[in-house]
Amino acid sequence: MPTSSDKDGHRPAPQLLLRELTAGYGGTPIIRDVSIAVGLGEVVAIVGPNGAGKSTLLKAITGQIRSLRGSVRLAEADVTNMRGDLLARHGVGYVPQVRDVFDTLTVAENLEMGAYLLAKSELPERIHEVLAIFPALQKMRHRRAGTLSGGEHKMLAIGRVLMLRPTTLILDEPTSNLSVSLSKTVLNDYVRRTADAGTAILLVEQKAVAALEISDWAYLMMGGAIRLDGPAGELLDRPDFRQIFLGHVAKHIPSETAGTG
Amino acid sequence: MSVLVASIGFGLISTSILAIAAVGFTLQFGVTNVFNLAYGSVMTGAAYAAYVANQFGVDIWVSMVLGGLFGAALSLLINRGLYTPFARHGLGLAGIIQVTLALGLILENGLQAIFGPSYHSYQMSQGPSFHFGSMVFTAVQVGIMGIALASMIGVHALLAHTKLGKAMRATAADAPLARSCGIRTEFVTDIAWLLSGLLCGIAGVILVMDLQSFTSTTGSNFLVPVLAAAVLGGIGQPYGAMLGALIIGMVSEVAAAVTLPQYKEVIAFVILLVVLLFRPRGILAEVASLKEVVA
Repeated sequence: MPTSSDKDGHRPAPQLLLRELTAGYGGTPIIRDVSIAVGLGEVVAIVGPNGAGKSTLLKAITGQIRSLRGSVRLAEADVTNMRGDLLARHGVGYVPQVRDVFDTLTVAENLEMGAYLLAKSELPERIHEVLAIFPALQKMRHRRAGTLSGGEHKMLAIGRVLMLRPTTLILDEPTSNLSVSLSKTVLNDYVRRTADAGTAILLVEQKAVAALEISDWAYLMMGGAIRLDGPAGELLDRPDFRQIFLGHVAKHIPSETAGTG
Repeated sequence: MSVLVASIGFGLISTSILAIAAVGFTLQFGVTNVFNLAYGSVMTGAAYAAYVANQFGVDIWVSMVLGGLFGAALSLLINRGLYTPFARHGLGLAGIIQVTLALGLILENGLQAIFGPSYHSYQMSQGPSFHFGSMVFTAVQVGIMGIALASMIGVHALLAHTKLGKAMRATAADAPLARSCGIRTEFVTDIAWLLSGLLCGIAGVILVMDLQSFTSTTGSNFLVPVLAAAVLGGIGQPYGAMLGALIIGMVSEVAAAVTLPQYKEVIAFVILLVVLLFRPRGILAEVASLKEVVA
């Protein structure tokens, strides 16, 4: 397993750092005191059952809802509650779970929008680079994104976000509508490779085992809070952790093991 | 036969005015989700703005530009000052429609309070006549068609070939996603309202230039075929609005010529209903839409 964090859990300096982030809707917190770090070159997975607050967390990070407490930092900059368009200027790329491409625009136009912040002169080179990663997109350049299949769709979404060469990449369940083999391709070929090229990746996944297999570090989220974290490989080997994702209700896990990561 | 040919000429004029108005209307809905029923009253407001300039001796074509700018400014103000705050407070699509309807009536009555209930006319000459086969157009009518053609080419060039136009379509398709790409969606929305307001204002003035007299309800009466054209093509779709304007404009004039003038709108609306029965999302659904509309 490729990894940027060594066996002792030494991790690169955080590029994305959440400190005690608390956020929710209408003043009611859904997530509480979430602290997470993602370093350059790392894939950091957040796994947890449905309703754990993973989507709320991403909305708080990407400025779609206001956080009530805590902070979000990017390298040295405080970006707490920053608007989405300004986050992009700070090098944050975001691929939502659904509605991740502009359906009414062509594939080429989607890529262009991904490079919206770049000068026009940089566009050909960036398109060339992204097409080198996803050669299949070349043939579909003039098709409307809304007509693509699930796999093509996700390929375009990731290609679009890579146009900007993000330093931080936030992926919300990139494999949610994909087959098992396509999921593996997305995680191994696209996500892992992008991190290896130096990007800090925060990966939220429902498919916990598959996500952890390509991650360096992982956080388990339940009931709106981080219940444990640690090197992804170690978590995978823990029977109590596996149990949760085999569908059993693991009542004993949260309080007893929190903070041992 | 000559009646038919003449009616095609009238149809081209109707199409021109309708196309400008319907494209503006559909842009507002496409980019910001506001089904702006105050649109007709803003047209009338722009017509009065041009009327005031015209009364001060300003040339009618310059007055038209001023009317267009008035429509742009008023539309931006309406969206920023009224629709956006309401939407931010969580008012849904249907609620916003009520707000637009109320605003339209307020504007209309405001204009009537200022200018009175009587009809007004611009000081202008219809200019020399031009013959195209057996069709005859005045210079003003030729000008109106030229402006419509230029507007449609301009809108197409903007949406299909410029970064701003593509950002507008991206914002229409998915505003949060557009923001995550670094697009300043508030700015793009402002531009969309300025542009659609400009089209709305120009349409208001040229409508009056063609009708030759108007009152405070002229624009809101014209809103009915504008809506028909926008919905016929597929609401939120600029090319659909152009096509819708062509169909509604031509059919209503030709139908009026071969039957009775009072059937003009009836026949156009029968066609609208029949088309919607078979293509409920409009003729151009899924072809050139700004957004996927489930309406």
